[in-house]
Amino acid sequence: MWRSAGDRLYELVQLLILSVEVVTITVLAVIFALRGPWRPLTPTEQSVLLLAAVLMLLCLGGLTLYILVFHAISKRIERAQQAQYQLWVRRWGSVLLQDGPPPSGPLPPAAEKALIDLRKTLKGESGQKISDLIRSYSLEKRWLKRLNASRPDLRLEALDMLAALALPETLQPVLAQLHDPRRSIRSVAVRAAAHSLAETPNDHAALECFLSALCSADLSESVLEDALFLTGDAARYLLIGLLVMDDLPARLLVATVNVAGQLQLMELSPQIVTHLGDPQPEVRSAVLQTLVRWNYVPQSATEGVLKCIKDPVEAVRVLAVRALALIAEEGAVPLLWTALADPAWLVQRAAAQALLHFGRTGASVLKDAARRHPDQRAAQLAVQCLLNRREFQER
Amino acid sequence: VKRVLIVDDDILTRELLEMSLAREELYTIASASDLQSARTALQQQDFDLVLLDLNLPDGNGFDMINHIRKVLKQDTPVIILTANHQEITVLRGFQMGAEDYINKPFSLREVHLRIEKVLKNR
Repeated sequence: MWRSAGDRLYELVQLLILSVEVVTITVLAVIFALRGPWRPLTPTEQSVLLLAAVLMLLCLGGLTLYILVFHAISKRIERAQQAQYQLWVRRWGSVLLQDGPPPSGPLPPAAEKALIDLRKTLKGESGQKISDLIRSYSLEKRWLKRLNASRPDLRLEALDMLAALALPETLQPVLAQLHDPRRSIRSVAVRAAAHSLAETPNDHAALECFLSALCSADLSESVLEDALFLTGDAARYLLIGLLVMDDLPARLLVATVNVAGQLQLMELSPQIVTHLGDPQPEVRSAVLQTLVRWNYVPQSATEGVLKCIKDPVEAVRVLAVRALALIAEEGAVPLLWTALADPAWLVQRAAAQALLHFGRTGASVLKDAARRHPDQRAAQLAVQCLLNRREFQER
Repeated sequence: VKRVLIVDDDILTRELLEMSLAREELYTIASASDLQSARTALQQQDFDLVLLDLNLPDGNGFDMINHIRKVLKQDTPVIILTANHQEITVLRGFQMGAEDYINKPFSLREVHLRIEKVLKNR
């Protein structure tokens, strides 16, 4: 608060000083231009020049003084705020741990900040107690009210605070913000809603609401992923719900598959591998990436992976070749031999590396490729891979 | 009475844990907000347990574990307390000799029980 006021004042002082300097220099320039620079200075002109120099010195001195005073005051205020904060942390701690009486409202800013920070730090029984305290001061109501503000920065701040409070009852109004035309509001809102949902992972009605909001909201893939992660224990139920839905937007399906991969939810593999035949290449890539991440290709996915080896999209073929390294050797090796001659270099390299996954058998296939592969580039790549491997082993 | 050192740059976590552990009268608590002051505290007295945050202003908690094990040659049990939930971080902590791992946000009861368990196992 004092920083923004101080910055504004600084801008004003700077403008004032610059204006004084510009006016002085202009006056001097005009005087000297009219009288000619070769004539000696009259006593009046000398005093004007001296006055201008003194004025500029005063201006610069004033500016320096302002900066020094501003920093000194800032430090003092910061220290005082820190002490206040610490005091309130102790006070809330005693309310929490010794069941002391809570202070009466309205709370000063330091008290509110300490309470919200405690909410972010604690979970379980003590976290619940903090939530009850927050409710008793109706902090959430103030921030919910601010969601109706016309200024987007105020609404973003409110959403941030609601995310920190993570109260289940704020889920619905926060989800309503997902229809906002501004992308920034939608992105922050979905994260805030995810925080609230994480507090009640078994509330089916809340899960349903969140799911339908995700399906209808215009959000990017990374924001969707982030939101799904933030739902904590609720993520698994959400992913199951999403994977059984028909006509899911591609970006939501990609986010779902990626999150399932990163959370190592292999029990979802039957639903995930059905999307290996998805018309969208990013979905096929996400499924293959997840299989590679799991280091596991279920039997039911083998056919889909084999189909993806011939995918028209290079990125999909690269991932399919990597996934091939995870299926049975006898099925994979001939296909990897073929993939060595893929028109895309990245696929060829992935095939050579995948062969090395099969240990001695893979290495001997690579040696064979180095000697007699009909594609010259494949033979050269095999040589390179073998050399790299030897270098690595020697090291 | 067991001596516990809390190393965390977050004033709220330090204060809260200090208050919570001191309440039981089973522990005497010292706290440090950075690696430097934690090292000084460890040199000045022996502790029965260190509760350690990983992200500190002058380094990471792994350096602290290293210091305790390799420089001070102490086997003081260390419990990592961090918001970093990544598997690789957890594994590294255990590999370096941490006894236990607590994720932030944490439950105070859980922290108490884990400390009790670690100290009992010693």
